[in-house]
Amino acid sequence: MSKFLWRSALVITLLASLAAIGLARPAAGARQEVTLKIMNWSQEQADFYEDVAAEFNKEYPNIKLDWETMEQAAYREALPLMFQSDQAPDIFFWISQGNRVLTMAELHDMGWINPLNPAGVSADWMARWAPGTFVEGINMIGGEVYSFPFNDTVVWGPGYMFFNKAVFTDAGLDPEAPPATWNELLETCRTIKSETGAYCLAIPLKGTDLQRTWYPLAGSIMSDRFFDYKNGRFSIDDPKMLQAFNFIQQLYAEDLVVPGVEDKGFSRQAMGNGLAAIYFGGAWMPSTFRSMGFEDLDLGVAAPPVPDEGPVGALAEGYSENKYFVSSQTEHPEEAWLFIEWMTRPDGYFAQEYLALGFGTLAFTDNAKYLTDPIMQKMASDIAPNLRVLYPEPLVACPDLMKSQAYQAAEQYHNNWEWEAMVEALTSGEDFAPVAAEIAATKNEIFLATLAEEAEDGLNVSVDCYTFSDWDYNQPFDTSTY
Amino acid sequence: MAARPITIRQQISRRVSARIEARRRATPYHYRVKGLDYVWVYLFLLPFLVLYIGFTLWPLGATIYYSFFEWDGIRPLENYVGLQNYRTIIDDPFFWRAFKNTVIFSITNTVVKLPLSLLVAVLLTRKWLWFKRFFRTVFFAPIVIPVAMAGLVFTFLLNPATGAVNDILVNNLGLLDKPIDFLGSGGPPFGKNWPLISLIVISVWQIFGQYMIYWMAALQNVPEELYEAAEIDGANEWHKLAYITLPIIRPVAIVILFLALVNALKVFGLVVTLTSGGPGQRTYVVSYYIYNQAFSSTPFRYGYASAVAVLFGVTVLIAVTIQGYFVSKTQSADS
Repeated sequence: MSKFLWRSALVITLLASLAAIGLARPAAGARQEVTLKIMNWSQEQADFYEDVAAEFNKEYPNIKLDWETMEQAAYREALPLMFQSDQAPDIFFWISQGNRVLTMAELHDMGWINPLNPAGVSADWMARWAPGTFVEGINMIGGEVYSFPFNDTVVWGPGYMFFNKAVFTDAGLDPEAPPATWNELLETCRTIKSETGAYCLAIPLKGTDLQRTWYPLAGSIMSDRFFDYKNGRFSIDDPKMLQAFNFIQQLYAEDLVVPGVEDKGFSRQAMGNGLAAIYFGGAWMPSTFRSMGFEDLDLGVAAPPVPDEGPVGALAEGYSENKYFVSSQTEHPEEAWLFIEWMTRPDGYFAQEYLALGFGTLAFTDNAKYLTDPIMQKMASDIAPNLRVLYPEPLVACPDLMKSQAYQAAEQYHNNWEWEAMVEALTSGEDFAPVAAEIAATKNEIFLATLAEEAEDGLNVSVDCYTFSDWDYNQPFDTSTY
Repeated sequence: MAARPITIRQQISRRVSARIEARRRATPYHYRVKGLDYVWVYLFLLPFLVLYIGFTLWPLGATIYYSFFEWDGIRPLENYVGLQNYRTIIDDPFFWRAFKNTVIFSITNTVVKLPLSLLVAVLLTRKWLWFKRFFRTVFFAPIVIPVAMAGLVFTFLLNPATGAVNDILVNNLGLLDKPIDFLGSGGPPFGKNWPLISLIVISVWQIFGQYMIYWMAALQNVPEELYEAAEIDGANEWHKLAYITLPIIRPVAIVILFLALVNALKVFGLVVTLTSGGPGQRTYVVSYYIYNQAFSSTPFRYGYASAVAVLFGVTVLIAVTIQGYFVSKTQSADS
């Protein structure tokens, strides 16, 4: 009897287990859980991404987001290695180190990207951006969309002058009237140094960090690019560019800049804690200062000083903000698209929170509606409209340039040569003009020779594609003249 | 005619020679492996051989192969360019600047660290010195600090605006009127050479303990009775160093010298963390140049970087060959 009972109990247990397993299995056709890996280099936004993942998961319970951020330099090295070892994320952030307009073309050429949506994107989705945003060769290939402008190109970008109001006050200066011209900046710096002992400027010089100071000053007299679109040549040797450099060199010669060859992190700290008064940086700086622990910093922002005779240049506004891509190695292209559609909703959670937290401004929403940070609001309403102008885009004039390597070959000939040479001249006090001439001559030689070779090979490219002689640097380019 | 008196040097040299000869005779030079022993020998060698082939020979062969291609490391290896990468390197002034800096760094670094570490090793092996263990630990400690951390610490210490070193020199000791920008614009007396000099000094500080240990190991080969006999003959510390220590440790010294030189040629970590090759290109070294070529542009330039690595490897190989020549010459002279 007991044997029978034992056997019956065993059978019942087995049946119950099988039933439990059957119940636990998803019903046929139910969607399995998918984890999307996303990567970028905005470490200060890591907490925000966790909230984004949670919010997105509410709408799409079967899709989990694993959003990883890394320091920029490390990211630039790690991502290619991830592609090399077939471990690339599903969605990734990338900006070309050469011509950022060609980011998509470069990534496509390397085989890293797929169209955003395997089924094609709708006209409604594209209407989230201003007309003319989607351009073949810049974010489209063969009619398929591979990327989209993430940040806007008016407010977002480098070129703002941030200052520590307390240092201005200590020097007896009015923080509401920051210097507006180069001479005023020089006088302000001299006053700050003599009255407080603090340095006037914190300029990072390590690697390519000088660009933070260079862009606004060079942009105010000519261009923030090392290429002259008016004359179609690499132009670090242009007298106006040299004038901008000599002005920075004068600041160093008068001991008005924090000494040392330091990185941007040190320079930001120097301004934040009052060792220096001014730091030139991008639209991301308010949130960056907060993430560095300077929540109580009395931060001021102003347009960068311009030459005394007025601005004769402007920073570039272009098709430069195509930054997020769907990896060619993703196994979840449909889910990746669902996230991109969700992220780019003009009044969605992502846009609202991104702007409210002051991380920057976006290309697919009404920024004024959601910006809450007064510094960001000031940048958007008062400074940005006069800071940048629309530059001509050679790729629009000559679509064959998408296949051309001429600009990149010249630009990447000894990567960062301009920055290294400028830093060397700044720290040694030597004349920059001869080195600038050598750089420009070398790059132009490579540029023209490669263009000629490509034209011989049948590409419809020439230096004319890069030359817009009727355009002036402080005027928006008339797109009807392409 | 009276015979000339024997000098202390000659007395010591005779004892040293006699000692070396006695040791040579006592050493069985020709121990032959027989029978099954061969199996055991190769069996024990096998794990190392596998690792050596996998992690040294194969990468070496692959690097040489890649150097003949224009390759980004990701796409198929198709664009064969022959010797073009090597031609580009030969014409590249940035490579030669890095090469020159590397040679200056390596020679200066070696010339400074070896005598200094030998001197300390000799002192630390003296019987009369107290607190030997303490000093040994102090001198060896920097070697266990990761290079990245050492770079970071010195970046803070040497900062001209906020660093402790300048603060002491300017404010506490009053030795300088204004701070020296050690890793940037420099200052008196070395001008703009300060960044490279700072790198050399910091690298000596960091690696010094390792060479001190090498020297101490070498010094164990010197029989104590020779020093005692020399003392009886009236030798002072300098006589003992010059006529006993150095001749006996010479074969090992040659090996240490070239190890030091080859290690210095590979300097990388400190350059990355302290100067990033700057200011400008003033502290560019070959390893950093290779790293930059391979990783700083997209697409990567693996082919070109491989060619630079091969060219530099050949340079190091020449140095090692010279080492082998000197070592064998010294050993044959001793025997």
